[in-house]
Amino acid sequence: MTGQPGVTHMTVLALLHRSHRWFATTFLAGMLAFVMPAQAALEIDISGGTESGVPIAVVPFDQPGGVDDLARIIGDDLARSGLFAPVARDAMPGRPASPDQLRIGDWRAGKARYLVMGQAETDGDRLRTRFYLIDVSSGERIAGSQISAGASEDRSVAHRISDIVYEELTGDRGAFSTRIAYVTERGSVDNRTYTLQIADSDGANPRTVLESPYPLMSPSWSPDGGKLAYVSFEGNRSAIWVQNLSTGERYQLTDYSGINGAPAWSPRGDKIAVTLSKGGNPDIYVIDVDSRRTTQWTRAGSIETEPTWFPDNRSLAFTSDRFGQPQVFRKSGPDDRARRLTFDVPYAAGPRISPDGESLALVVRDGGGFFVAEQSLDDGERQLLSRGGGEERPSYAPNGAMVVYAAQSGGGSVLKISPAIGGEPQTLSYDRGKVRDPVWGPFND
Amino acid sequence: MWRMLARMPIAVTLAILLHLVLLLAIVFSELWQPETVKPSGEASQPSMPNIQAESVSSEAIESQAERMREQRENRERERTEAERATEEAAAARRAEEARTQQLAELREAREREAAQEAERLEELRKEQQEVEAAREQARKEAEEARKEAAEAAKQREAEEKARQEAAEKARQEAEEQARKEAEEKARREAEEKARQEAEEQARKEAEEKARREAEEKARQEAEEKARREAEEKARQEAEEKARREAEEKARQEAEEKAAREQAEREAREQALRDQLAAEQQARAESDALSRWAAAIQSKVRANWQRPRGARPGWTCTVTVQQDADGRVRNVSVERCDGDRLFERSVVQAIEAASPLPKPEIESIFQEELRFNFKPE
Repeated sequence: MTGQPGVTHMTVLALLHRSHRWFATTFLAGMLAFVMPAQAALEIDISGGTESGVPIAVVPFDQPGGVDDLARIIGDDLARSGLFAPVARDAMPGRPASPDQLRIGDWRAGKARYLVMGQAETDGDRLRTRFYLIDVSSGERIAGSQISAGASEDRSVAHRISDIVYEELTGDRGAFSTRIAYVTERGSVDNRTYTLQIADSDGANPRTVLESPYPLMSPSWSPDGGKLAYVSFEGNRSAIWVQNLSTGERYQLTDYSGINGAPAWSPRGDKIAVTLSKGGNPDIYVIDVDSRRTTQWTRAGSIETEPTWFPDNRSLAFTSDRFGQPQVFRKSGPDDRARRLTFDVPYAAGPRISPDGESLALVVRDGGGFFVAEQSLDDGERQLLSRGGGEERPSYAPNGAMVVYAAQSGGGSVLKISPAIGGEPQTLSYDRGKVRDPVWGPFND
Repeated sequence: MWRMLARMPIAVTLAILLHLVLLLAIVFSELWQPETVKPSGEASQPSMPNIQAESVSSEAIESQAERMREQRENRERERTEAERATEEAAAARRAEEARTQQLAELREAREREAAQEAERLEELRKEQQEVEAAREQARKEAEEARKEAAEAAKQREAEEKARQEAAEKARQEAEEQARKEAEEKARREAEEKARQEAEEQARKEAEEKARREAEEKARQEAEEKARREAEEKARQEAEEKARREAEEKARQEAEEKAAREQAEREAREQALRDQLAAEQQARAESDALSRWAAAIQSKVRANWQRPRGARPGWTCTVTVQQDADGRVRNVSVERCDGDRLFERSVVQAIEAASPLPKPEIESIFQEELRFNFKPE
């Protein structure tokens, strides 16, 4: 600004010399230009700023011993979404558990923009929990409620609080109270055990729904969360099975010769898409769950597999090597023309469609490794979500905000979750062996 | 049929002729039937042969003889019938020939008569013609004689007339010749005289004209010279006058302009001094306003934690009310096309920046501010 006045002065003089009539005009215009802003609202543009997870303080709850650290579970949940950055506990100016203990001025000086606090108490076999969500900037209480649950459901209570906080702040439904199914493989070559497992969305509380000496693969949730379809090689031949999760009852859905693989339950639960090689080549078929009527969807003479449904319940994305390398295609019916969705990569497979139908999670070969990526179905723009280079089998959380996948890790494999908007992946706790084929379950309605 | 005729004319002709002959034969046979039938009527009554027979007593002989006679009679009758048939045919032929002969003779006789008649008529006509010719000849000769007499008389008259005319013509020609010669001489003399007179006249006129033209030219040149001299003088005088006037005018204008410019310059300088004073004031305020806005912008931006996932193109416009100390009293979102987390971050940035910086010059303070938040 220091050089500016001189320049302005010269300009005004030059104008004045041209004609004395200019004087009045220039003077008036000048005055208006300077005066006008003082009369209208001053307008200020703010752009840039630093993009980051929103700093949130989840204050350790006032809770009895023997109950899991609820604040830790909530903080980890919010961090996995990639949208929030929980503040370290030692940076907190206090440990309020209720609004009357909160000195908001102390918090305003800190980084946190939001604050979650609460308290829990056991009442016999019940756990009563009360929590508050505070806007640190304004001091306003955004949410607050009381949750009563069984004493052993402390983690579920924490996930429910996470869901409420997430939805209040983002406007989108939280998916922390959901489950993930996956397959584990353990033991030596001659004594191998396969299990089908279901765990919480943070990998905790795993429970086995099936254990087998034969390989298990490709679990798929029914949309009501009550059943799993999967591939079992019992009897040394592949078959697709459907298992009721509450009763443990199961039945065999397909028993064709050759490959019976990659079941995918349709969003409305009325159909299951599968890969069968009964016609000679692996092709996509759709089985009506009630009538068992089977419709062939592909007949390209190449390998067609990994079907997955679009939210419209009638379109499938799938992997096909009809052009030599695996690429992802879309078909909106058995007779629809297959439309290619992936370009510019030598390898694209394992597609999953986001719940809003706008994005595609998939595995691409990029440079030396296989990465999980997300691609916009609108403009085809693609970004990598995983970091390692040995990832496979992405699966969307039901709110589309996170993607779980299997990742190689020190000779074994683990499950990781990446935010769909990109960001640091989180590894789910798991102790030994290999973990494969994770698939995220539906909302628990 | 015609094709056949064209292809086989002889055969067809023969066939036609054959048919015609047959037809004629039939016709003739019909025509001549009464005559042919007649002989067969005569034959029904054959003359019995004159046979001399002995009377025989024996019945057997008689019967034998009777049988023999009957046989003879039968044979005879048959032979006679055959002969009669032959004769009848011959007679028919002869009759035919005779009739043909008769017809030919009759035709010949008629032709002969016709020829004789024609000959007689021809002779008669010739005689008439000869008589006619003799009469005509006599008439012609008489006419000829009459014509010759008239011609001779006429010729004599013509000759006489020609002779008289020739004499008259010779006389007239002589007279005419004499007259023409006299006229020709008179004409030549008159022409010669006229020519001499005309030449004399022309010479005199040419001399007169040359003299007049020389006089006229000298006069005109004198006049032209005088006129030019007068014009030149007038022009020089006019130019001189105009030049003097222009010089005078230019001098006056220069003086006026100088005076005017002087006045303008003074006015401008005064206005400039006023302007500079006003501008300095305004600029001071403007600069202060800019610095104030920059200070607010800086503090709000520093307090803006932009959430991840904000998309380019999102904009949030908020209106802020502040008190005199810069404390934010109210933040209202006018328009926001980002998600809820983005909108919250904008409001929080304002609230976190409170109190807002104060301006250097109190006069430019505004209670209401507007902010446009954009991710990029």
